Amino acid sequence: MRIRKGLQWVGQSIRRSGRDVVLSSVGIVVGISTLLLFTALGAGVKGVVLEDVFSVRQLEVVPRSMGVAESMANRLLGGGEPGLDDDTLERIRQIDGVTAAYPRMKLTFPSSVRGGRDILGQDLVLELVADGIPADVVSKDLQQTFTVEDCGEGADPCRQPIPVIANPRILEIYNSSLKTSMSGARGALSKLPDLSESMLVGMEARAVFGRSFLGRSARGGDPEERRLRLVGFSAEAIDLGATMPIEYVKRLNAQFGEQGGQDTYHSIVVRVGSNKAISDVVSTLTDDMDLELGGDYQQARRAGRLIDVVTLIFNLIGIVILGIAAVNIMHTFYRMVLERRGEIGLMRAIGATPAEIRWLILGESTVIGLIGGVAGLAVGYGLMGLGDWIFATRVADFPFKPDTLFLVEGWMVAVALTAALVSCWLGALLPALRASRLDPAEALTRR
Amino acid sequence: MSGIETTDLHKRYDDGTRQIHALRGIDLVVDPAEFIAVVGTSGSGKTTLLNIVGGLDRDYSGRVEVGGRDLEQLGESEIADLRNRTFGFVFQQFHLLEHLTVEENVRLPGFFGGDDAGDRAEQLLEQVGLEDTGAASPARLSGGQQQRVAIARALYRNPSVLLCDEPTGNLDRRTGLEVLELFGRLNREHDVTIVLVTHEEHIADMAERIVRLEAGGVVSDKRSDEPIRD
Repeated sequence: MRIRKGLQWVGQSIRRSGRDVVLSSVGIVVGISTLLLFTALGAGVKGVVLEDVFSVRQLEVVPRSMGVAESMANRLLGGGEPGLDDDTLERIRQIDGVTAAYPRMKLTFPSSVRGGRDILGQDLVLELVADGIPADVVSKDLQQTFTVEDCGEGADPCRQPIPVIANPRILEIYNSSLKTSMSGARGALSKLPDLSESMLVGMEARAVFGRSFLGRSARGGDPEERRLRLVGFSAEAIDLGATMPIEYVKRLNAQFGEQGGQDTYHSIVVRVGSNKAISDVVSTLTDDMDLELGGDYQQARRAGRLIDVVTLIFNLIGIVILGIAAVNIMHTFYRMVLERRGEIGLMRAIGATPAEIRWLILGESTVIGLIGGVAGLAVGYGLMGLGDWIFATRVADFPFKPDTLFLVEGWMVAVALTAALVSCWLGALLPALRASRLDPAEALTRR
Repeated sequence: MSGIETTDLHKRYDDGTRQIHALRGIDLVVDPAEFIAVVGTSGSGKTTLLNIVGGLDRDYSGRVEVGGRDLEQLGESEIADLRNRTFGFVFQQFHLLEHLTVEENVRLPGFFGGDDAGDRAEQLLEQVGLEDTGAASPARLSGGQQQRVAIARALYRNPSVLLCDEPTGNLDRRTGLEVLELFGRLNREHDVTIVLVTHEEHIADMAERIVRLEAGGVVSDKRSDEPIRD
């Protein structure tokens, strides 16, 4: 039997059994839409958690923490606390799978900042938490200059504001939480405005380095007052605080911080090219180089596993529905085989082999699987659209609220269609075998 | 042109309560282009004999040869090909598929087997006198017309042997005779071997040779007294 003729035959049979086909497809539609919906939901939520909240393809390496005994022994032997230097940075850059690595250095002395009158109606004075990163990490993504000003000889460095960047999370936390919590405060603070990045870029504040509410620099000397200019927002910036070009931090730490503090980094940010490479890179960093990873990575792993487990549970529901659909298809096909005994006997009499009978029935189940699978995908996409609409319109804004809860990838569609086909084939297999084993003489003579 | 030969053909089966010996050592030779009627009462084994000769029933002992080929030696695909190309089957129940048109029913054997010898459906419908019914549903035709559609279907692959199981059983006498005349014409004009199973004596009389079965054995094998009428 040629494929074209087989398809023709299957098409005719499907048209004849339209009601059975529709009823058989319902279970497949429900199963496939459930499978797609929850797989896409799991992937979408995991994507937000790992990419936006924890940024899992970006690891933060910190010096290995020492136990009390180890630390004391180290000091007695004249060694210092383990640190991250340029040599370590260069070795990390050489690891396979690492696409980039850059250092972070924190201010290691008390500082404060005053500002915000233009927007908040009054100046706020806060402890300044700041760090530094190489300017080229973010400068190309910013509209304003984020570089070290070359004051040159004779120029007054204090006239040049230090460019800083902030993390967009600060803005999200302000707009979604802080503003609300201050609505019952006295005075102008009760009417805080919604803020956007464009409103804040260019804003200046005054920083005092070497002195804050909490203390002064151990190095003594006069505190230094400098202007800070917010030049943009970047996810590379410190979570709560300000990030400036690392040369400023080195210079200020040398002036106000611990001796030699300008030569060691507090962490090194490592970018990994692909998710597959992460485990190898992590292994090299922790096992071979005796370094530790920041807490974000561990939290991301735990969160990712939790989401995987929840997604798996929901996927099992979809698989159970598909299993029930397969049983339903099996019943339908057994009934069809019974009803078509005479027809099957005739087909054998006019030249069909048992294998051709099998393939004709499996062909019908393939069509049911395709129809059910495609319809299930359509229903799944519809439910995702509905879910996103409800999420966007009925759920209040919160930090990292995504535009969509779902992430559909090509493999999910392929797996869903395959699952639809496989469940139909499994359902039709036994009836197809029974049909192919029918005694043609008996099938033709029994009414 | 295929002749048929059975040698010491036995068929036993269990009907759930007892062993049935349906055929008891049948020795039969059907020459190519012969028109033979197998007659007998219900349960005499005539349909069983036809099914075995046509390759529909392969559970037997003895030897069956079609065109010199031992059916027992043929695989599933070879026996299917034999049913597709060498034999044409005509049944009492017609076995037309009502979801297909008359023309599609005639073409059914073309779905199976290898290369198609071309679409003969229209020509065959004309041959059986149903040239204007190709697009109709079989359900709209009379019993005699439906049986003629079934005959056209049996002839689609241009078989050399037509195996007919009570082909007039569901037809009135006049229509039954018309169908038999069609068989006679096919036999005379196209040298188609016809094996016709019937329990009606007047139908059997139309054949040139009558083999009578009783309780699974051949009790007589003789030329018909009344030759086929022109």
